[in-house]
Amino acid sequence: MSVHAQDPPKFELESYIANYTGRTRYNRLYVIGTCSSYLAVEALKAAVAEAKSGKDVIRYERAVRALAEVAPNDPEATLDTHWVDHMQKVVKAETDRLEHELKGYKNNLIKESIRMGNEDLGQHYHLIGDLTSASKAYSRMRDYCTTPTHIVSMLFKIINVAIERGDWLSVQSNVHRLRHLQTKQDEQAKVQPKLSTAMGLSQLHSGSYLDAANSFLNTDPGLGDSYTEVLTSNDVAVYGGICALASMDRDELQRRVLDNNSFRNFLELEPHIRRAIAFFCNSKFRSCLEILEAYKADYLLDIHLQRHVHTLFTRIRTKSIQQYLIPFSRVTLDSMSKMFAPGTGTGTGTDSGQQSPPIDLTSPFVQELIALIQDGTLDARIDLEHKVLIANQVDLRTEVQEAVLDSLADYVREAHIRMLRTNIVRAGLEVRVDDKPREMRSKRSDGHGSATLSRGSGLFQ
Amino acid sequence: MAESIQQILTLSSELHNSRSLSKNDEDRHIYELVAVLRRSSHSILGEISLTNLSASEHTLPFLFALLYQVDLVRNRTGSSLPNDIEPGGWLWLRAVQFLGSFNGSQVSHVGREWCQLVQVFLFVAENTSKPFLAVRVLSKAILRMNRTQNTFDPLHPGFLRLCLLSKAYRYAIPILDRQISILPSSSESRDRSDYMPGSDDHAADRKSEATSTHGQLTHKDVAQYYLYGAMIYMALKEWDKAEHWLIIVISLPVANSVSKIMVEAFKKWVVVSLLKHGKIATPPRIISSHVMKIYQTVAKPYLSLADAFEKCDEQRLHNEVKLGRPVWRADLNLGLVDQLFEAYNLSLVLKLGRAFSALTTANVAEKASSSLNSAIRVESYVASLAMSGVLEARLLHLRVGQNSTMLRFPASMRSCAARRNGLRVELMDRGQALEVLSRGIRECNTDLGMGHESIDLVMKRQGWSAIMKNGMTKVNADDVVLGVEEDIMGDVS
Amino acid sequence: MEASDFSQAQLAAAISSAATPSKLYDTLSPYEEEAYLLSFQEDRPVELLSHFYAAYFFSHLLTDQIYEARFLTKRMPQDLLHTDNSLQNCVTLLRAIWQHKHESVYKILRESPWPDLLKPIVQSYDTYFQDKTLREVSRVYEAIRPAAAASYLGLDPESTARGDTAAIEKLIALGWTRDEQSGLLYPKPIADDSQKDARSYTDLSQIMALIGSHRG
Repeated sequence: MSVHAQDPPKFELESYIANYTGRTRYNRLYVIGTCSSYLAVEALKAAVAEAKSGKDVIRYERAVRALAEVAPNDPEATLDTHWVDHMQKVVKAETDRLEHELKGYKNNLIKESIRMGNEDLGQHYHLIGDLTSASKAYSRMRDYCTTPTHIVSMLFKIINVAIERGDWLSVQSNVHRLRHLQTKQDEQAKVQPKLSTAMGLSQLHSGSYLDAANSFLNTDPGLGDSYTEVLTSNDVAVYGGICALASMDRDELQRRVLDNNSFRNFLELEPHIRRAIAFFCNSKFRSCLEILEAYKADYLLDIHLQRHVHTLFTRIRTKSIQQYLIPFSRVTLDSMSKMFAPGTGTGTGTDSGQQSPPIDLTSPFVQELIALIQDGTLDARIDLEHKVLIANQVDLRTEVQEAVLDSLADYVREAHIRMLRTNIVRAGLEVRVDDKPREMRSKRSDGHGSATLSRGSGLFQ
Repeated sequence: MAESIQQILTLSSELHNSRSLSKNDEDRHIYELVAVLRRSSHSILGEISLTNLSASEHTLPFLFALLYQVDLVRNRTGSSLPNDIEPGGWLWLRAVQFLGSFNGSQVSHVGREWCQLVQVFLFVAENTSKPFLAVRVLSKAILRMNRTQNTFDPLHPGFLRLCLLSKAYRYAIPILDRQISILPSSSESRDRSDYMPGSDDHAADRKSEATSTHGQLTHKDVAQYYLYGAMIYMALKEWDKAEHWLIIVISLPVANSVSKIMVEAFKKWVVVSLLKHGKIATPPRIISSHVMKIYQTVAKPYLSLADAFEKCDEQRLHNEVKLGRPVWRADLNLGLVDQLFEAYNLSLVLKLGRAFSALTTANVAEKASSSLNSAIRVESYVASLAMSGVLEARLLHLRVGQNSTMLRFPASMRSCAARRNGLRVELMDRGQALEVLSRGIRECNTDLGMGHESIDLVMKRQGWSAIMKNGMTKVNADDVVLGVEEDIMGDVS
Repeated sequence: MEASDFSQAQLAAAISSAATPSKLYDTLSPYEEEAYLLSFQEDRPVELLSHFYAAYFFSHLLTDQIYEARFLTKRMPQDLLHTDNSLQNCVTLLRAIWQHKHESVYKILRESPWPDLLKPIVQSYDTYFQDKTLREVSRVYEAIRPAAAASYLGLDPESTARGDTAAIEKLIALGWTRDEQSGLLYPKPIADDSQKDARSYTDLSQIMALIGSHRG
């Protein structure tokens, strides 16, 4: 993972991590510790402590190793071999005991016992960090589930392990399975928010940001802090808001995010996200981008968001530029760069409007525009003579006429080839390994390719 | 039956003066004369004096006598290239005289003899290393021979070869520009030879006649013809046509194996496609996937060259061109590949034109390739492109005594009227092409529908799909002609 | 080839009598075979061949067949091409045109020792080239430095840059304008209506009429 955050984040580590429960605490701490230069020691120390309070020896070793890299002299940066040996033995004994018990249940053929045996084993494997075995054990419960409640609980266990493993396909398929399950109304209401967020996470990770946004937006505010082993309601607001910003236009944002009564509950937890979206909807793109930029360090330290921050931010920025251009047929590069690239070049006095930074080909903002134009995102051209961006005018009539002529030409060519082909086949002149009499060929000059022509390559110089 | 020269010449004169004869009568006369000539003993043919005979008036006797003399000289000297037939020799001059003035409709009845003569001519021109001498004469003769037909003739590839060898490409153009679509069939339907139109009385004779004319036609002739044609267009930098012709070669129907000519055509097609579009065009769907796979394996260096070009990786392009030099040389594509740099610069400038509507030449120099690294070079390059009409751009000198130049890419340089006019002209051209095409399709369709045998044959060879496709094409052709033109007109009004 | 009237006198007559460049081209092209054949003879008439090929070369240039002109230089007897001054000049000229080096083109046309027989044809190509360039420059340049214009058009760049009135007057007569302050010239595009195709108008009007009757 190459994400690295230099700037100090806005959150306070202790209160941040207090929002979570379960194994995600360690995972989050570890990510923060290895990615933030500012919080590294603090987070890794917390990670070591977190690991030591559990049974997962491997993650303890990993945390100690990481800590040793940033703070080699810290007393906690040396491995507590005594604890490791002891814990390994405990774990081994526990594993053997549970496996043995399960074998016993299987011999007795009591469904419920087998189910619980597998559940215990899965839980154990999960706690010691053997995720593959854990999900195998959970999956084995399937045949022994007798009530819908059993199935729901089993599937959630599988989903949670899959989220930790980053197996997003499995998350999605199990979410679908859960959705199609016939359960009671109140049960459904309890399950829905968790399902939506799990689905949203998997969509976020597979890069389908619009789907992810929809999943998060549909999450029922009843989620509360019921899913803290995976995420908090604050996370839902952030993930959902940013994905929506990156994938929806202004109208949709207004309608489906800001005016969304249930999502408002989430947004209240992260008011800056709400403000950013509102700014975007009011075409105050710079303010929107500034807010996002200010919180970038936070997002870069989020276990789920960090790898997508760059793409998401680029999309939001690109979309802002696009939206900004819509009403204009030409815009000065100057005003654009004030909006989207304040502080670059010499334009430090962003608001005074006094000095015009010399915008030319080398300024990064122009380079950005060029890239956007060349990949077809912007339908405009840059005029470096008058320093303006000119929207391409669409001459529909000419375009249609040219398209017609082109397709006509294509048709003529294709038909010619096909007709020739028919005639060649009819004349029996398909290309084949030659079966014609020898002497006929020897009469013709050899080789037959153009290679036999004694024509130099000088022809084309 | 003792024929005499007198009789022959009388018959021939009658023919010459036979303007009032009906088509049938004329054919009958010609047939009679041909029969007499074919029967004639050597002594009689030998007595015909070529010096005093007019080739336009006595086309047929002249041709037979000429061939007889060629044979005679060859037998006498025991050489296939005796002095008399060499360029400048008296028989050569007679042949030139004949080819320059023969009567086309008469010669079309003696395909075999005509082919013999042209073959001698081609042979001599190529083997005396004076191919140029035959090109102009033959070009005119072929045009005269079948003025309106678009039938493939086994002599076509030989002629194009001479054009290439002699670098006299211009003379090939009138022949190339007639889209050939009819190929004389080799088997049952041979009697549909275009050399032998006429009354049905002589069907049997015509059949045997045609067979002897076309017996040698092979798939190589066809492939060669189109490859040579493409090479001529390439030499004249008519990339559009060159590409089309190369596509014809690479999409030739294949019975079991791809030929060497097709592979060569594919290699050339890759480069031509880069030169024309700046990227590899999508190959026609008609090429089957296994053929495509063969091409892709044998043309690796070309494809990797194209990849470097498409990705605008100048350094790699240079390396690929340098590394592949032996390959390009062996394939005789060196000159073609060398043009890629020019095309690369052009595509860079065109790309800039899509991103900018105005920038200075110094800006271009920053962004462009290493060969365009100064504002002055950029200006002279862009100016030459714009002046020759390749690029729509305008230049604007900014100050006297400085080298700063503004380069503008206006949305459209042409006025509305000019553009409309251009569209009109283009529409006319397309209309003509369609007309030629639909004529061909109609002929083809009638032929296909003519006998069960031919349909069975096609079915056996290609399965039903080929016929279905053909049928579809016909329908579409009508649709397009009507539909499209109406659309455009509606717009104009 | 039949007529053996290929001679110095014949060539001179052809050059002087041709009304248009394309006529000249048509007159000269049938002689190429004879010239080619002649070039293989031991005692070939070097001067005649040189004059013919050079004249034929220029007739290509005058009819805007630059590719063909290039192939002609490849077709001519190569030993002759390498030893003959006029033909060498032709090749240099071709290269200059090919590379868009306008100044060199004028220099070769005006300063090379062309034989008397060719002088009129060289002169007419000079005019032709100048006209063509003028049209292209007017189309492509919106503003041009006088010196650059002069070098494109074969005028003396230095005196034009200094403000030689004669040369600039000539351009102003064509509708160009001059900005006194910047010293730049603003060319006026020359309308080019040579491409008008009367045919397309009549055909189109027929089709339009047809559509009209369909609608009615």
